Amino acid sequence: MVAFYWIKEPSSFGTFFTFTSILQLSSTTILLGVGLTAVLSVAEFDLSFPYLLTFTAAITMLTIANYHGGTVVAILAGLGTGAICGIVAGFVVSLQRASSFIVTLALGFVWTGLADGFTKSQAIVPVSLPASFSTLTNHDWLGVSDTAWIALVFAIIVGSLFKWTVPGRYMAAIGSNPEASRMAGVNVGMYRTLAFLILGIAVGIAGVLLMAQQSSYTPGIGTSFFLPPYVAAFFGMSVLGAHRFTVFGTVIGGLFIGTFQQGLLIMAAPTFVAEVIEGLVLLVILTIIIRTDRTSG
Amino acid sequence: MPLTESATAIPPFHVEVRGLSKVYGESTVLSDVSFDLHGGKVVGLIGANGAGKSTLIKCLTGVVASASGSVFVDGVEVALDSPAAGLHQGFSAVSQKVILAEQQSVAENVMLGLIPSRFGVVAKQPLKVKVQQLLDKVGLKTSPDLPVGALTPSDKRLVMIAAVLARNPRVIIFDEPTAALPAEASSVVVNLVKELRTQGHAIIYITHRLHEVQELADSVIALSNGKVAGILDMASATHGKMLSLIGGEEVAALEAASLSTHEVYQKGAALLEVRNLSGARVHDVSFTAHAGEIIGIGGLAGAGRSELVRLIFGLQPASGGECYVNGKALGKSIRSRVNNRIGYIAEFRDANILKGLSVTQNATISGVGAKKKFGLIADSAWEKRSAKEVGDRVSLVGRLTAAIETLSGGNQQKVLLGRLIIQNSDVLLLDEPTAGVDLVARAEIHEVMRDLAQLGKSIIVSSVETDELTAICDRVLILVEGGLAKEIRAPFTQEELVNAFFHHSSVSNTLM
Repeated sequence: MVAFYWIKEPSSFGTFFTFTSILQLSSTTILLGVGLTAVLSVAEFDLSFPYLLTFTAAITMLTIANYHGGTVVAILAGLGTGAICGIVAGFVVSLQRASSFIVTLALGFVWTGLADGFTKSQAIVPVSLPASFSTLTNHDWLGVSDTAWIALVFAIIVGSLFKWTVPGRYMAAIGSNPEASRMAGVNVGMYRTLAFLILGIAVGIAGVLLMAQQSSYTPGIGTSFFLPPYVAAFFGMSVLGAHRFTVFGTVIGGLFIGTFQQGLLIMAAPTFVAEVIEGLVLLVILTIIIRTDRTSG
Repeated sequence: MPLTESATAIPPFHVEVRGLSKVYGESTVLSDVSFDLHGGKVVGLIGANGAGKSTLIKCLTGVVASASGSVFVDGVEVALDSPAAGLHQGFSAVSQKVILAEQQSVAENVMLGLIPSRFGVVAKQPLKVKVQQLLDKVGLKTSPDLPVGALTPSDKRLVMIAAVLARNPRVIIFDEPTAALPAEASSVVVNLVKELRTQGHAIIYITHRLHEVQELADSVIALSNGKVAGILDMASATHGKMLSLIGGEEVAALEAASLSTHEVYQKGAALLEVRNLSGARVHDVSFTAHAGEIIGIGGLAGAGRSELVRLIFGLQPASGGECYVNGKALGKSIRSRVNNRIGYIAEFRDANILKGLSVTQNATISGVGAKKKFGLIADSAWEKRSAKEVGDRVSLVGRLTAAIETLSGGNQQKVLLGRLIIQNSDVLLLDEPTAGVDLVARAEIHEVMRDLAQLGKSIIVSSVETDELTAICDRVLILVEGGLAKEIRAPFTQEELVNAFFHHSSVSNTLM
């Protein structure tokens, strides 16, 4: 695919600038995808994170624009909202009264309702924002933007958690077989909640960065971020052949999505093309997984 | 199609297998295997994993072509070079794994590929009649319209057998048909095999459960390293003889040695006290497990053996009674058991293994939390070391870095035992610890259990296999309808144990 774009647009594709812009384009997908990977690793699903993203964005923007809380407080408010809501989701899922599909579907409504309640369903377009907030995402280091760095650092932290730590091992065990983990003495509920907390933190970070980039809040702003993290996670799982969700795989998946988004940008294709392609990629991947599961099972 | 067909006996026939060999690459999997089959007879086929049993089935059903050798039916050579040819000659196998379309109905699964049609339209009425005949034959009482996914494991097994019978086979090969079934349900399959024998089928019955061979077979073939190690008449096939044929003298000696240790029954401190425990299918059971003893839980099908063990581990809610460790009640949670050093291996080890994780990670999962560095990091050096140590201790065959599901059943079970060792469990609750395990591994697992008992652990083992209980237990608690009817102490013989089951069952039946 990279080669295809390179041949089509030799002048602009394949330069360092393009690579950094791919990183930039993928950063939110990677951030959310890595959080989602934690939840998928414990064999659960989350449909609520796009709505939580809206909610954390709303809280961040309200704190800084309406309550003049300052940059640091706004960041903490966004992160805190993500973390608390993540713990709530994890706790409710851990009760195991209903599947995480249904639980997070319901919570999605709750987060949307809360966001609308706090913002009175209005867009927030502040006249001015503290410069320290609006320039939050304007920095770069070694030619790579700080949003991309944040996403990569987050990926490294979560990846290390899974690779080297005891909680990471427990989460992998729960993803493999929750009952067996319980019988082996693992606190299944606690580590399921931890997975949702990781996603909540990722969503909180994404909400803050999104507000800093856009300098305004519109209702439902998070919903368009639903598909790419899933595509990234499933891409990483199926294409790298591990047949497990891994942080590394998700990062590769995120870069893959960034690459074709970048390519489409260069070729000036309309945005719906990207959406259609993302959907098709997910479809193909899921078909592959189901087929290999059948033949190996 | 006449309704009486299912009752018609197959005329007597005779199959000679002569000099069958099969080579995969460099390794010889079958070499010069010869034996005879007769209509109306059951031949038991035993051997360790890798002895060539599966390959033999594949050769006989035409799934793989044999390198040399021939098969004669009533003196006429038959070609078994494709699955279709195998079916045509009447050779069919019931595979070990359940291979069914879960969403399809029972009827569709039974008749898959054989659905009668008129002008390309499914002929419903003949289909129904035929399916009902087959279901009657295997004794399945569920509706043929139910999806297979809704059936119990033993009913699924019966559907698979019905599907095989739909092809009108003369020779039926059963590949460990009871390995994946709960002990209670196995008798259904065993009885069906007996029924098929009286109808004149020639049957090859593959199993690791020697007591099933003794119950069913007219003769037994032992395979070892692809060769026929011996063919025994059932009259002369003792447990020890069969073991020595498939595993060599060493394994037989390992098993035989166990019987002598029974004399020395010594117990140490009380480790687990079960007081008036009741729950689903268990009523008011009390006993104390001491350091250094192996306690068996025996009883007839449905006596509540498995339920008792699950109740003790907290997997089922207790309706009354408690379990105590050091005088402290354990409460409800499973974690309180694990924290108080009680370990459990379920009847089906799939319930315990962590697929996708390595052998090492499976072994260390319960211990890794106590060995973290900086409060967080898993100590991989410790993990490697202890997995290696424990692997040697349980004679594990397999790479420690391999995914657990790539190991054989026996080795998976050894890893799970290793997990309990690393966890430093004082009380080990083992539910059917050697179900579906090959006989060599079975002897090795028994050896590990004895070692652990000698080290001062207390082992509670529930088993349907009375020979297993006899071989390893210092005492056996006999359950009758969920209640503790009797305790029988070593030394005892297998016969005494079985008699105790029946004696106390009949007494309690008359009382009720």
